[in-house]
Amino acid sequence: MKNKDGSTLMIVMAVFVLFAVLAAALSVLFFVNLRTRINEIEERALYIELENDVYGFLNEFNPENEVPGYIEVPGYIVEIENVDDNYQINYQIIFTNSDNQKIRAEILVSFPNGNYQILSWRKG
Amino acid sequence: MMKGKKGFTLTEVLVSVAIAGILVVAVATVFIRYHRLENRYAVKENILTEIENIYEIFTGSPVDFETNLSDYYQREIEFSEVETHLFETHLYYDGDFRKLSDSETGNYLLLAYSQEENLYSLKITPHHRGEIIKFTESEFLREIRVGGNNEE
Repeated sequence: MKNKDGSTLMIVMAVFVLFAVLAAALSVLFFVNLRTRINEIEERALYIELENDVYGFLNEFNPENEVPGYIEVPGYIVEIENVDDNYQINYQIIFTNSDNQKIRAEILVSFPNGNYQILSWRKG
Repeated sequence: MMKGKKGFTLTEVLVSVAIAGILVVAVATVFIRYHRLENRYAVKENILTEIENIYEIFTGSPVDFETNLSDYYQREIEFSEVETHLFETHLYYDGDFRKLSDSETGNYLLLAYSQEENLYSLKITPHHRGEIIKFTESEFLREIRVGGNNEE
């Protein structure tokens, strides 16, 4: 359809299409941003859960019965290593979420008097 | 005066306005939905921040948890004994969980704190608008056996 002065409806339509494309692009950007936030929330929650489970694990941990290596804990891969610092044997315990390996903590623990003492805690 | 020689016909204008209207409604709907979702996730982020802070206080010294919690919030937080060795309190928050509320609201953290021998535990159950908010499959429950240095 062409107007008598030469302007066409196509120009108007093109502006609308451009507007629609921009709106769609902005929507995608928003929802990608939301998705990232949802993932961050999920990871933070999983990390709190991991911390709770690490303390639960340490409450039951008996250094006399544990040998270095991987052990099975529901929901986690747990790796235990002995670390000899000349004075005592410490344990490096790496806790990794089985489903999301970004959720991970490396802790160094000693057991003076049978009670655990966390010497260091590294996240991720 | 124009006599139909310039500009658009009435049909063209009506079609354009209709298309513009549809686009504006579509875009507005997307933005409103986005805004609502953003608020919802902001609330979840604030809840997690509170839970992280409370667990940090608990982990630092499970024995002095009640005192340290009151110091942190700079107000008296009272726990009531619901069973033997089990104490509970509600921390009420404003609508988006940014700060504690002076009155009871549907937004609160239910803290269940217990101590048996040298085992201290703290369960935190978040509620938003009276409903429990679940973040993971399991509950937020931390149990600490005292006798060591638990600083992270």
